[in-house]
Amino acid sequence: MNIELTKHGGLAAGIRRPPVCVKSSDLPEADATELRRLVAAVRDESLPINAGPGQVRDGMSYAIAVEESDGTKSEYRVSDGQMSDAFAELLTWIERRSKG
Amino acid sequence: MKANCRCVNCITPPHILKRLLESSRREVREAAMNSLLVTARLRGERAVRAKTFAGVAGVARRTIYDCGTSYRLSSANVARTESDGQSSDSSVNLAFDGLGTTREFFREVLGRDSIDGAGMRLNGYVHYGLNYNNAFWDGQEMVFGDGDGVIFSDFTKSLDVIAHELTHGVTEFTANLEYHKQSGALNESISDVFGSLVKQWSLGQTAEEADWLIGADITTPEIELDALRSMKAPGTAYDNDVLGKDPQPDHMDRFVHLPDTEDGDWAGVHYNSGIPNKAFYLAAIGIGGFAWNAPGDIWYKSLLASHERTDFQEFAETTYRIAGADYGCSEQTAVADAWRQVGIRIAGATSRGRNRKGGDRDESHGPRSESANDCATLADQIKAIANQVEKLARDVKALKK
Repeated sequence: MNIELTKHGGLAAGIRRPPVCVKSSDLPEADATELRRLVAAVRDESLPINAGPGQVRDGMSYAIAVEESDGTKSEYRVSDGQMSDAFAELLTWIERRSKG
Repeated sequence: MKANCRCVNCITPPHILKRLLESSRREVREAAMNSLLVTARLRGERAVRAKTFAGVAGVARRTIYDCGTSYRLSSANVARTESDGQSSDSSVNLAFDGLGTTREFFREVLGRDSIDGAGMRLNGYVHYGLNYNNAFWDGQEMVFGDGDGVIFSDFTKSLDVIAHELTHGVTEFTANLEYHKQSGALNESISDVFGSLVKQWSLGQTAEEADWLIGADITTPEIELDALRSMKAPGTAYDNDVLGKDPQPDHMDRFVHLPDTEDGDWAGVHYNSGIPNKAFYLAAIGIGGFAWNAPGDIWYKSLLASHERTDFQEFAETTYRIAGADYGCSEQTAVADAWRQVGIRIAGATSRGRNRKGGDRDESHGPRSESANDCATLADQIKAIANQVEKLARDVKALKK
């Protein structure tokens, strides 16, 4: 499973933000299992449909692209102001890993 | 400290405390407000709070919540209220004080009582998310991240950022500028303008002395970055391999066209705000002195006179009209020239080089607008009439002799 997190918008919308990539094959088995669990939780969650900025100003948006080992691809998107529990948990996990 | 407050509560009638809320001295107002709050709490009169404080000028109550690096606001804990002293958490105190300073600015300088003009509570959330490089307004409250420590540090460190977010609330309750395309860029610019003005006001800086940077205090030594944006010189806040180059334009010729999507920053609201930002800076420099006086007042009144779809051109014309109506020729000329320099021409305010009399450009003072010529002509006429009146008065006096 390959994961790619990209971020857009926010106060610093103009800065370059390279995506954060995680490969489950590079992870210890326990971490890879945890990652699969977090992705499954996001998949099972009904994410809000984003029709526009609403009343949020300077909010950031997050896109997590998932590529399964069989090549199946999916993408999950959430913005500040409509963050779901499962997405937040996965986002935090990726952020923690990217920070080292 | 709290024990003393309680004693005062017991012997000071509420109606006197309420009068003290209108005191010109800040410490008296805050002491009275704290006393009223503690009194209400002791009596279990929670409902009294809203009724007592709603609509009382300058007492919009602040509450700071700690998200503890969570992305969920609903699970955040109360970290500081008006009745609490300093917190051991610097982010909490910075957010609390920053919201207080911004509240004071809007009340004392612009006569506005909080975000909604009616004493709305100010709720701030700190430590949002993990390594969160941002701050935002969610329609009800202001949210601040800690930064990742590499590109940005704690977003509560910049007063202009705190004021920027609170101003989004003010805009929502006034013009409610749609958050995309030019109205969205104007929305962003309004937040930068008043964000910078709050900082300038708190530091007592003139337009010339101010740095006109947004977010200069949240940068880190790790990356070469002056700030998030420069109002004085849009497009120059950063230029390095990590972050890229600051993409803000400073003129309509360089307007950035992006998709009206999240990924496109809603057609570049944080990009094209550089154009009206530069116009405000130029107007403030042109008028001179403290930018929160005439320039800030003109921009605030123009915000109040705007609507959801106001674009750059309409806003420019509104500032020009208000500058002329509420101030004078020099302020109106400075406003017209500021907009002209970013590529927005106001009808009836063309440059002197192309005025209807065919006059030449005044090279010694740079290009001047037609409004300036109109003003100068009017001043000349008044002076001529005054001279005539003076001469007539002398003639009458001589005849009497």
